[in-house]
Amino acid sequence: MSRIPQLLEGWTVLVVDDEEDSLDVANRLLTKAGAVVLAASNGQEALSLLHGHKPDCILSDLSMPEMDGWLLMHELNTHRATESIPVIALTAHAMPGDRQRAIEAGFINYITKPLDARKFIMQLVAILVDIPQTGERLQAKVLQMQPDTQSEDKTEPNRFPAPQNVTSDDTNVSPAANPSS
Amino acid sequence: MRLPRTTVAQRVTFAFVLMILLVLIGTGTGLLFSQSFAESNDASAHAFDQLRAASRLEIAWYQVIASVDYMLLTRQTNLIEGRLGEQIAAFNERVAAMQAEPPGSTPEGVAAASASLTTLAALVEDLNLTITELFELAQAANWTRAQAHRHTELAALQRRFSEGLADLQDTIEADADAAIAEAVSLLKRTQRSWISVSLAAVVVGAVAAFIVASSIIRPVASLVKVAQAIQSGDFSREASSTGPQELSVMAHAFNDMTGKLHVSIESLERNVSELEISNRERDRLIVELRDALLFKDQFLATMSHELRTPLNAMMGYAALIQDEELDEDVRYMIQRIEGNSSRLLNLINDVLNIARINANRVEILSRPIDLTSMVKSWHSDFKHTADEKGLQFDVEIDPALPAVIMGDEERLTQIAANLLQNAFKFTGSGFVRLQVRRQQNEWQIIVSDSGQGIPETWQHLIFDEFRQVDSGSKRKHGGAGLGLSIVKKLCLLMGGSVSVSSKLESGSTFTVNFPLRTGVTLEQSQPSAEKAQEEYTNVADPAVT
Repeated sequence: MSRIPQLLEGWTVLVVDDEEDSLDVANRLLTKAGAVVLAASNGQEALSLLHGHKPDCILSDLSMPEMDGWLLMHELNTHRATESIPVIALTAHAMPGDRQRAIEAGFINYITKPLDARKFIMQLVAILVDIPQTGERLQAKVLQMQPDTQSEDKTEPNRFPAPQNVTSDDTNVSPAANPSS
Repeated sequence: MRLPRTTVAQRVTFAFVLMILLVLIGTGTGLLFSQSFAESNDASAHAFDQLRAASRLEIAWYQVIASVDYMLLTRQTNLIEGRLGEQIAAFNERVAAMQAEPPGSTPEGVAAASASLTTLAALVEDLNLTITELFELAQAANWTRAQAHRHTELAALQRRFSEGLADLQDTIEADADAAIAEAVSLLKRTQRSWISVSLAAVVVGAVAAFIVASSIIRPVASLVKVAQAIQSGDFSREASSTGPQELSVMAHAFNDMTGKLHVSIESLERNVSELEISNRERDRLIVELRDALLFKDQFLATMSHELRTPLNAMMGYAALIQDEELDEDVRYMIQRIEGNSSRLLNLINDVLNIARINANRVEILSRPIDLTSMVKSWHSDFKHTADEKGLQFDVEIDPALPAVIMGDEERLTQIAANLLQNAFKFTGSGFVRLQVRRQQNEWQIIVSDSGQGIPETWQHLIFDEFRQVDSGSKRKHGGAGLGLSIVKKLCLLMGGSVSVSSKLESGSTFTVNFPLRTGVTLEQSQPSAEKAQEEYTNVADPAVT
């Protein structure tokens, strides 16, 4: 039924975003991809969720009330239990300086906001594939993907395209039919 | 009409002439004094002469008498015969002489003297008579009678003579005294007047000299004082314009200059303070401008985010819904929702882009780009649009182009996407071709189509904001007409250019040129933070409006 490949089956993902709808869309997309989703609206909530669960990765917005993404990252780094979890930033800022700052703070990469519903999962997968902790786990799943999900389908324009060799610079997200951004 | 002032030369000449005049006056009075002195001398001399004449007269008389006595004594006549006559004649002469110029300086004196002389003149006849009688007696040897005659007649004559002479002498003396007294008093008067004139001359001279000198010195001194006052910044004083012409002229000129200087200084001071004010104003404006720009940035950033967020939520849900099993009809409607949302997103993006570009807040990066991969992504972005419309969509990349070029991938994609979007929008059948070519040290993106074309009259207008070829197409094709103006401005910001070639009903070709900057290979060019910072180009071009 769902057209999103179940690449995150068995995964637990923590999503942190203060925007309700943005959080909800991400939640639904991740759930469709097979993941178990933990949702929090700010850093504080995220930390309390982390007490009881250990996610495979964390997606966090940067500017939030109570505790923002940076502070959260700092907190995650200081605890043994959490310091090894890969954290990906969700941010509207896409300038090299911001990117560098995020990487220095400890984020492994970032995905630009606003999220493109059609590309989000593949962007996430592309990032995760590259890092040791999560890469192997995903490789198998990715290779399992059926051929027709890997090629662009003319008749199903809503198909999510196959993962390309996405570098950390691939951040210009916009819906396929709407090129201007 | 006012008389012209006297000049310095005139005044000095006047003073000089005045001095000379005063000296002359003094000398003149002195001369008068010496003259009256001479006159009094003359008067004395004259009196002395007259007394002497009177005494000579007396001598002449007594000579006659003495001769007679001698004759009587010697009882001889022959000794005095001739002499007697001479002496009488001499006496006569003397009287006559004195009568001719009678002594006396006053009419009364003269009259008195003349009277005396007349008496004495009358005596001469009597004397002649008496002497003749006596002489006859003597010749007759009548000495006794002669003696008696002598002591009576002659003696009477003697007495008359003495009286007359005494009167004469008195007159002369009185007159002389008077004359001398008068002369002396005249002398004294003259002396007094000489002294007083001299004193007056000295005073007048001194006063005149003082006046003339001060009439020259005072304006000069005033000028000096005013100059000193100006030296110490006091412009309120004026040089006095009294005094001689040249000094008055100079004082006027000086005051005029001072006035102008003062005005200049005041005007300069005003200019300086105006300049200070306008500098402060400018500084204030700079601060205001900075604040305004900051506000604009923040506004754009905020609006950017605020406008897109709800739209993206909508589009996110629309996409999620379409992932479910749906009724055809419902699916169609959801698709329309998604389509309209993305249209709205495009419009918002366009407007915000243009606003950012116009506000000169767009920063163009210069990063290495994998040319092939970028162009391929453009192709893939529009493939399904081409398929939907049944159009052929070709992509060509010039092999002469390097694998990696320097540029701003996001902006180039924006440009290409806008051009491709237009191409597909305005082409109903046929093809859309995307070419990426090299032209020496430039490279080009060429988008051509077989669409409806653009009339020549519109070709330079289409890059203007909010223009579309005809307003009918707005309804049909949508869009705010910003795409090409964004393309043009971005091109300019990147140092490139855009041009169009088109013919109605025959399609259009849009060409953008950029300077070609090659990059190193992608691997080598994974930028470090510092390198990224260097390659980051901040462009705020005031030419872009």
